[in-house]
Amino acid sequence: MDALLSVNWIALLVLMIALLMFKVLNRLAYKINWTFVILISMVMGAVIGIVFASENNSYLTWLGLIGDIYVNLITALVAPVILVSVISGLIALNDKEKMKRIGTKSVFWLMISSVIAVVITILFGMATHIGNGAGAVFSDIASVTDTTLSAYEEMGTSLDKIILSLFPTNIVGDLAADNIVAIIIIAVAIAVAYVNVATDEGEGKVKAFKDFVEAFKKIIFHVLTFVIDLTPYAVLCLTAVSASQLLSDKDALVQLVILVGLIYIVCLIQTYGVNALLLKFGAKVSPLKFFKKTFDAQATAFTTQSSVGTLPITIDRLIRKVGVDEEVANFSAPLGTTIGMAGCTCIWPILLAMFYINATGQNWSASQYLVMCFMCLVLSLGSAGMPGIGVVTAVSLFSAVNLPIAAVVLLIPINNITDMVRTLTNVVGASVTATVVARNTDLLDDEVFEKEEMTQKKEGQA
Amino acid sequence: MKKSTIVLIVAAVVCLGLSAFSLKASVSRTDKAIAAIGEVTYTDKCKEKIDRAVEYYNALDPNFNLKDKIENKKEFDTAKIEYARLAIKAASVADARKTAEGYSSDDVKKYVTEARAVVDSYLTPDQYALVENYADLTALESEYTSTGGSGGGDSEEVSIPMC
Repeated sequence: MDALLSVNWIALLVLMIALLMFKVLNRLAYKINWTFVILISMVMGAVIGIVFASENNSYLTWLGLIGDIYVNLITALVAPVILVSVISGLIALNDKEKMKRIGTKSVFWLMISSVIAVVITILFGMATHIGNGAGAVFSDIASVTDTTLSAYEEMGTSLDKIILSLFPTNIVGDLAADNIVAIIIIAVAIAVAYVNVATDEGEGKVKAFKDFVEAFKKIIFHVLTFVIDLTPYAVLCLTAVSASQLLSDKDALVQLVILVGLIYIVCLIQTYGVNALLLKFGAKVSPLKFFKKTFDAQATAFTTQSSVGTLPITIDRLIRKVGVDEEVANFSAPLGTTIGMAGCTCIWPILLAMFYINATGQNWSASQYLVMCFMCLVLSLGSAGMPGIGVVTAVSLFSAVNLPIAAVVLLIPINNITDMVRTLTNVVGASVTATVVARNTDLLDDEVFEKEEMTQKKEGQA
Repeated sequence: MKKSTIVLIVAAVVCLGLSAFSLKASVSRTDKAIAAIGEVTYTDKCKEKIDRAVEYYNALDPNFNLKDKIENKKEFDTAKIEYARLAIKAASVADARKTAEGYSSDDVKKYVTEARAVVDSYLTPDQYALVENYADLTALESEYTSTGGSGGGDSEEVSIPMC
């Protein structure tokens, strides 16, 4: 009897229901557009999450496990995909000047995107007086223990730390830790060295290396298709977990609902408003079509809450559906998971800071706001696109502008709920930058972009 | 319909049935375990019974508010408070014997630690006041343990949420 009662039968029931839904999704994948399959899986996940919402997501243990396995699988592919893609792309480009242009333009557009995000966030924060009358949220600020505070303080970062972390220290270590900029630097160094040796001593000397990279790339991208095939199932599971989490966090939400709402509004404006303008005028493509073609990357970002984890899908969709040349997609999109990241490094920490400032009735001068904006831009120079980065950026900003870190601790309950939309903003920002850079370097294939999506499953895959 | 689909539907129905059954059964086994406690004495046997009831009670699904469905909850609380009182009394007696019968400090410390463990695992902080000799425990803790009357618990662990 005790053994029977020790099993969480409701969690198993949820698993069975999810498996039945997987079967439905599998059937649909052959009949309707891949984008709709992802959309349906999100709806199914939301329904499961709402129906089986439970304390500590206890009924969604198995779905959480499936979602985590997917995130692990796709994250495992990040380092090899970026390394071989960048090396292969730059070797094929065989043009050091063009390499430089792609690099500088990528950083430029990512930073432009961050600057716009900072301005919009400040404007919205000021217009809405976010936090006014919400002093009660911070009434327990003194009760945050020293142990908690020091744990958060340790997470803070500074300009020198950010710059240092961008450079490789150990090739194997950086690959293992998914240090994106470090991996890109390693890949660029290898590609430039290849081009130099090939020019000086003839391509025959290094052709074996090129063949190896091309073969490895083919295999790794084939492995990627296996994982991408799992996306709708993972999206279902992760959406269910998020929906349940949302319901169990509702107490925290009630007090901070306006802040959550504003974070969503600003992130969505940045994602679909600012980026639409950048696409329209910077890349000269239809924003609507672009968002439709990259929808599965958006859905994956929203549900996995990991910019880096979404990267393989982002790169794949940029190349195969948007028509961004491989060299640009493989370079700009990964860069966008470290530099830029408007959702996590600009919108989120600024709104938290403004919420606290207004809630506690402080009057900040323009120069103080300028310092805050500058610090956000510094943060956006190098923040890893990994789960947990939102806490790091908020703590870093609060400590840089002398706001109490204890305030961040009290606002953390809304971290998970807002991380979905922040990751979406980051991923779309990186994709848009890649497309704009591709247009500016004549590496955008309009024919691929104009091609209509097929309805067969195989066309939806990488 | 495919065989695998039928198997999944059957499995789902079985899980649904077992879910309903286990919810009911978990309440009734907790009621039985509480009823089995009987008269509270400071013995290993009695502690074993209370421990079992506590284990079953804590395992009740919070999503269905099953704890509210426990019929003899009042008796259960009384039994836990009484056992905590006895555990503290045992520590006080050991302290008294230290001077009279040559108990070592380590012996007394063992009783004090045990009493604290009982209080922390059986009671919620707002129930501490219901234990009439709780003040004795804090006094003994400040004398015999390095943490003093901290109210129990190990060093605080800080969990940084994932983003």
